[in-house]
Amino acid sequence: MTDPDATPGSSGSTFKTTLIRVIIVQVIALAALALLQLRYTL
Amino acid sequence: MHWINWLIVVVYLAYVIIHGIRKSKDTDTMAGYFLASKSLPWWVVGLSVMATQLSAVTMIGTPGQGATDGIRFVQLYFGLPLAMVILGVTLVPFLHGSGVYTAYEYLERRFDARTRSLTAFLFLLSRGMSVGAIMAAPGVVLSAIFGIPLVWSVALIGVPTILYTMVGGVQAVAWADVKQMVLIVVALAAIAVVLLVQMPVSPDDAFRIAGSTGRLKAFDFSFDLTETYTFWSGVIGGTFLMLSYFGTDQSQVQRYLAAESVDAARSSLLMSAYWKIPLQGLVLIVGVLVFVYYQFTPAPLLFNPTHESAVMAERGAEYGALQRDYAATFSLREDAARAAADAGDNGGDAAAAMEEFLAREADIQVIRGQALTMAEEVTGEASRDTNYIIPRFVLSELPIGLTGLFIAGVLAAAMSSIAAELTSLTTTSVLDFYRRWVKDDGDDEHYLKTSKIATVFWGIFACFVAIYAATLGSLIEVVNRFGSFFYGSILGVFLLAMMPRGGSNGAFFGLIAGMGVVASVAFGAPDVSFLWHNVIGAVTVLIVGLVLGGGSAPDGLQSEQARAE
Repeated sequence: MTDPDATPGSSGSTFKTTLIRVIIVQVIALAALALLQLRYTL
Repeated sequence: MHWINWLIVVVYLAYVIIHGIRKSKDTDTMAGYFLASKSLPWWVVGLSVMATQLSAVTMIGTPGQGATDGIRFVQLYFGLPLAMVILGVTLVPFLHGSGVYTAYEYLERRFDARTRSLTAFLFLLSRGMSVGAIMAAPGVVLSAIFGIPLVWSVALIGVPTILYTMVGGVQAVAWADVKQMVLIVVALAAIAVVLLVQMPVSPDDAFRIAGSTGRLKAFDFSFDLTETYTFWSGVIGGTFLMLSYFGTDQSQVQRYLAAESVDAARSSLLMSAYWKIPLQGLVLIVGVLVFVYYQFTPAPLLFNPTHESAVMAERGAEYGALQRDYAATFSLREDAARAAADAGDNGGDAAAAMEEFLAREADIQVIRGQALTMAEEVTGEASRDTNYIIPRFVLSELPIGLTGLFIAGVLAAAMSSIAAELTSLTTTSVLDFYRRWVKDDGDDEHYLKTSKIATVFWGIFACFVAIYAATLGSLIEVVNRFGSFFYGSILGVFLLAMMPRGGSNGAFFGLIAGMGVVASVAFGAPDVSFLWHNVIGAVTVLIVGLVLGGGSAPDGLQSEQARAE
C-alpha cells in the first residue's frame, strides 16, 4: 500500500507546472473581478 | 416540463447507474473499493474533487444569491488557492505516503486511538447530518417546481446515487464525477449564453444596471468580524476553512488518497484551486444577469410556487392587490432601466437616470418584502426564496432541451456531492470503528460486504434526514453551524501531528479545548462570522497541544500498519 515516491520532500514536475498555471489563472480571475467592480460599481 | 426535457433527465439517470455497474470491476479488494487501487490519474481526481464541492446548492442557490445579493460571496474562496498550495507541500505527502485508508487512521499512528475515534466520530456526526441537508436542498426545490411529493424528489436523487456508490466504490464515484462535472459546466455555460442572447440591452449596459445596485462589488476590504464575506474573512478565515475541509475531511482526503502518486495527489488539489474562483465568479455573474434580465421581463412576485399557491388560496384578495401594485411598479422600473441603459455613460443624464432606476428598484423590493412576509405568515416557514429564482427562470425562459440539461446538471451536482459523502461515511464507519473496535480479523470480502451494507444504511439515513430537514427549515442552518464548531479544531490536530512537539495528550485535550472555545465564541458572540471559528479552533488546539505535549506515537499500532501494508 505504501507509495514508493511518497516522501514528504518529494517534488514533481506536474505539481510545479500546475502551480504556476494556478497562480496565473487566479491573478487573471481576480483582476477581472476587480475591473468589473471598478468599472461598474458606483 | 416538456417530454424531451424529461427524456434527457431519464437518460442521464440511467447512464449514471449503468456506468457505476461497469466501473464495479476491480473493486473486489479493499484497496480497489476504497482507494481505486491508487490508480486514478491526477486530472480525474482533480475533477472529482471539484465535482464533489459543486453541490446542487451551487447550481441553484449560488446564482440565486448572485441575483439577490451580487458577487461578494466569491470572497469566501479567496483563501482556497493558498490552502491548496499549503496542503500540497504539507499534509498530502504525509497522508498519501502513510498508506492509510482514512485521515483519522493517520491520527492513531501519530497520536492514539482516542484521538482517531473522536475525530472520526465528529466526522460521522456532522457529515451524516449534512449529507441529508445536501439532499434536502435540491429535493425541496424540485418538489416545489414540479409539484411532486418530496419523497419522490429525494428518491430521484438518492436511489441512483446509493446504487452506483454501493456497487462501484470510489472508482465509480470518481469517474462519474468527471462526467458530472462536464455536465454541470455545460449547463451553466448554456444559461450564460442564453441570457446574453436574450438580454434586451448590451452586456455593458446590463453590467452598468447591475453595478448600480452594488451587485458587482467583489471586494470588500473592511475588517469587520461580523461581516461574513469580506476580503479578509475570505483570505484568512477562508484559508483555514479550506485547509480543514480539504486536509481533514474524509470526503476530500479519500479522493487524493486514491491518486496514483503524491505528485498526482497534489496536482489534483491544485486543479480545484485552478477553477474555483473563476467558476464561482461565473455562477454568481449568471445570477446577476438573471437579475438584470428580470428588469425587462416580468418575474413572479413569489418565486416559490408552493408559497405562491398557499398565499393565493388563503389571502387571495390581498395578494391580488399586491400583484397589481407589483405590475404597475415593474412597468415604471422597466422604463427607468431602459432609460438608464440608453443614457449610457453620458455624465449628468446617466446619473439622473440611474437614480430614478434605483428608486423604482427600491419600490419593487418593498413590494417583494410584503409578499414574502405574507408567505411567511400563511405558511409559517421562512420565505426567503433565493433558491427558487434560477429553477423558475430555467423552466420558463430556457429553450426545450436546455431545461432538461440544467435539471440533469442539478441532479449531477447533487449526486456527486452525496456520493462522496456516502463513500467517506462508509469508509470511516467501517475502518475507523467496525474494523478498529469490533472485528479486526476479517478478510477483504467481509469488509467489502460490510461496506456495501454501510453505504445503503447511510444512503437511507440521508434520505430520511433530507425529508425531515425539509420540514424544519432551520435544521440545515443548525447542521452547518454545528459543523463549524469543530472543523477548525480538527485541522488543529492535523497541524499538531506535523510538529515534533505534538503529543497524544495535547492532541486529545487540545481538540476538546478547541471545540469548547469555538462553542463559547459561537454562543457568546454570535455576530462573529463562522469563517473565523475555523481560525480560533485551529489556533486553540495548537496552543493547548503544544503546552500539554505529552507522549509520542503510541505502541501497539504495528498491527494497524501491517494491515495497511
